Amino acid sequence: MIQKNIRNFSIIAHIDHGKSTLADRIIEKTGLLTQREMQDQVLDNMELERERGITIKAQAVRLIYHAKDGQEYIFNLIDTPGHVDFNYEVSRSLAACEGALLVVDSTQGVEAQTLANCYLALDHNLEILPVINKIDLISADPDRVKQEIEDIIGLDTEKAPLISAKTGQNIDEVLEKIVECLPPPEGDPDAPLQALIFDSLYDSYRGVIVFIRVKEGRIRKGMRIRLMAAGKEYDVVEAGYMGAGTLMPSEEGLSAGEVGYFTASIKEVSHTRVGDTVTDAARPAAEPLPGYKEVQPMVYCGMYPADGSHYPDLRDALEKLKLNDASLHFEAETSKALGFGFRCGFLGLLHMEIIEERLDREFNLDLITTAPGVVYRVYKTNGEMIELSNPADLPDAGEISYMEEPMVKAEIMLPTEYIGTIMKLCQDRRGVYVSTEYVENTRAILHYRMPLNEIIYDFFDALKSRSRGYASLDYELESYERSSLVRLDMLINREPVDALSFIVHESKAYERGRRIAERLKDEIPRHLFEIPIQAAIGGKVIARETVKAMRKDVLAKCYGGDITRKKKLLEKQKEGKKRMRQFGEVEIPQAAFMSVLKFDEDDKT
Amino acid sequence: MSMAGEIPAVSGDTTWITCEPTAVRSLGVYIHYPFCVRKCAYCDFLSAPGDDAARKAYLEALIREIRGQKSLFEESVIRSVFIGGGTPSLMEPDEFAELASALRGTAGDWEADAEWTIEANPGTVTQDKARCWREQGVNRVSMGMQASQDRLLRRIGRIHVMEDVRQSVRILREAGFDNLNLDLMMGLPDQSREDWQETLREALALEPTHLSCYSLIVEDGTPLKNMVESGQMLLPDEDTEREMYADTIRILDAAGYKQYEISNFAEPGRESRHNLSYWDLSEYIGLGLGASSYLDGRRIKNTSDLRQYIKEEHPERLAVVEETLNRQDRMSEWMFLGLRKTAGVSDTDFKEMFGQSFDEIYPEQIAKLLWDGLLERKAGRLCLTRRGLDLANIVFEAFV
Repeated sequence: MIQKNIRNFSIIAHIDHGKSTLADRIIEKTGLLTQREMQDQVLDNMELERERGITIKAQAVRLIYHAKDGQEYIFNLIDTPGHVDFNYEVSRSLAACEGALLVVDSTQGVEAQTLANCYLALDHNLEILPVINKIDLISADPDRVKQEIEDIIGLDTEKAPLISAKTGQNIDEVLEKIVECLPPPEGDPDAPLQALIFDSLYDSYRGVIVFIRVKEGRIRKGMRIRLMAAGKEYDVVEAGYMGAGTLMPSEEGLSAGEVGYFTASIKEVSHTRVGDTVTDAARPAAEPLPGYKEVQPMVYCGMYPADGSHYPDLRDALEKLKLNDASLHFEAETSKALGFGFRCGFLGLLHMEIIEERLDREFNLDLITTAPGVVYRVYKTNGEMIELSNPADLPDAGEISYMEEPMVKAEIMLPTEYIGTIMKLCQDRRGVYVSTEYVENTRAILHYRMPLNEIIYDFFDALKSRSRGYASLDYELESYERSSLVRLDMLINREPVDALSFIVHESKAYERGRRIAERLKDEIPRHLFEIPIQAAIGGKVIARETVKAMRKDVLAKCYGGDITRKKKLLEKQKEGKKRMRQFGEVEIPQAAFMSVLKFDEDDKT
Repeated sequence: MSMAGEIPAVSGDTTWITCEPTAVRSLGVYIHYPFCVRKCAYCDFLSAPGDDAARKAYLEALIREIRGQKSLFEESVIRSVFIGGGTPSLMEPDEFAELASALRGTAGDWEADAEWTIEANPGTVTQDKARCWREQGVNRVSMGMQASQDRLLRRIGRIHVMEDVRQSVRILREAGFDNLNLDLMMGLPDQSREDWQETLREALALEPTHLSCYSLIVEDGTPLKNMVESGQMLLPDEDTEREMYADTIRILDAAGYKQYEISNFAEPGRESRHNLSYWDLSEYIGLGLGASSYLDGRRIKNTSDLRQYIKEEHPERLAVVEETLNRQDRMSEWMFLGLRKTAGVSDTDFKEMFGQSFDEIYPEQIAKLLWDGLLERKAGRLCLTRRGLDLANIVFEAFV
């Protein structure tokens, strides 16, 4: 295929603005799939993704379009994840494209996430075609939204198609505009191979399937290739394109400008890192493509099977997930309260939630997770620095010289009426104000520097609830900063429960400790004896609650002679107790561990 | 758990004899009458108002079921009869006479001191009915008094006022009933501790032989549950409710009523034989809609579908065996049902029944519950402590 008839593009959009639906329509219109083969959302192939309306793993599909100019074009539609946790993956997907469709909901307008991805696309010199979606809705206001796109992003919206991805209205125009407005790829098919990895997938038959964009040169079956950052070499077994849900091997392989996949009996996705460059081992490129970086987990938590005997199942499940998710980290750890489990690292909170849900749904594992934390740097008096991801590993106060915590650059886009409320929220969360940018009369972007540990605590939920869902957030890691941090321990029946400890800023410790103690009081059922619950820092108690001794637990009624019913009630009650963790003499329900994670907002108002 | 000692395994011979064939079986009879004037706010029993046609059809079906059990009755001696509901006192004298004569006509022998109770609601008792019950052989009436304050009675949807209770008791006395139970409820919405103490005093003034004092249980699906959840009704807190329970034990004991089970109190010798049969693992047959039976080691339950019950020509098809108790189940039930009684369970009886001591079967459970102060030993028996009465479920769970 000649390069000038190829279009490589992504669709960028805020969640719910209709990215997947538009992708479906494009796939449908290009006629590659029959109606019967169409699932509702072809690109979102995981059940979980569909339910959450989020695309987790980037994938790509090759489509054939017969344009009005009579020529045949190849569209490579590269899907991108739509969440801040996967920012780096998004950037690599965009680096594989020449253009992008910017889908904006005509009933909503531009959101922080749209903007962030849009800037990413502009950073990669992508040509951006705005598409105004959902014009079939009564509340649609395409003129206002077009104006917003021009004002905020500075894109010309004159050619922007007004569409309804849901009803299929004006999709043809989008296809024509792709041909007309987005540039074809460049690159020399005879130069040494440089291909960008933008995603990979583990398949138990073929090994890792590596999704690539060939920038220079060509790749074909039998060729020995080198992964430049990983430093590994493999022989290509198969190279080709992605059809709709199927791989289509090609004898000629892929050449400069094309998007496709290859396999090479690779056993681990961790060898095929997103952003790495594939080159010809025999005739290597002088240097790798720019932009590769190793992704480090930002958020850690402990994961324990609710039933201790399921530890091996949890290990197997994490290993399976890791096959397909190089950014998931885990190592075994032991908690006095929860037994054997794993300390797991994630790109962000959403990534963590997704893994939790997959463990639940796909592997049927009932989990207890500990409060998520970030990686702190602890500088010891002996000059040593440790990266702390588990609060239990914090050295004694005497050995610590000082500590640093990660700070992020946060951008919050919101209607101006919420500026006051949200500034107050950021201040509460130790944010440092940087600037306010007014994007039009009714909207603004707040720029803040914020500690990451405040963001992962409950910031998203608070932001949404205080702006009635209108504010959106984007952040990226900026630096580490010295901070007064302490470890807050929770003592139940005078024993510290390691799984409930976490690192918190000194100024927040009292309030947080008091609230968690209150919650634990509500979650821990009454026992035969009184149970003190204390929050403490370094042995000093800062808050206390008491679970009173149980006074009543009796079925007084006789239910006629229906002993079976009575027995079932007792069995049910007994079963409920089995799901608790025995900690010393105290039985702690699973919910108590989770209550530490709960959103604070209710208590505040 | 070892089964050794219970059944002698004889190789090559499948005819095992586990016990002497019982010549006659001692049987409790429960008869369910599901109709009532109006359903109370807290009630989750199988009951509902019914029209004349439904009542008539039900009675026919009930009599059919009774007659269908002729062979069982013939090999049994009746120990007790309990007609519960619903509101059995809704039955007109002719209806009741028909039911009672069907029972008497089908039954074989009766124990000399057989107890025959009918449940009655104040406001539905008349002289004619009381006289009819008496004539038909009923010797005990259980009256749903619940509380002595009219405002509380209204609150929980009862149809009667306190004056109706007094009136009904008068009628029953005149008809010759000397064995009366009053059902009372503590922990009602808006009920104070003083209200409860007054209820106890008012009940005692009626000189019953027996008192059942239940804690209100807010059951799923009842109007009460909705009202409590929506905040329209406020229940006494747990501490107050437990004080009411403590008042009950103290006041009734002082008045000469001995507590013989978690919720039941009686003058000496007036303990309800029928109630006791549930806790002693004695056999009983349940007749009527949704009624439960315990026969030949099986727990059986009748259909709860009124239309099906009325239509079914073959009474044997009404019942479903819910479980067949094995040795372990029987031991478990023996413990958790027996422990409801203040006298507790006797190790001698347990050994006689199962060939082993309960200390051998449940060593850890018993040790823990003794340590926690929920059980105590008294002369070879194991029984709930005062605290164990409040926390009985914890004890029962250990044996389930």
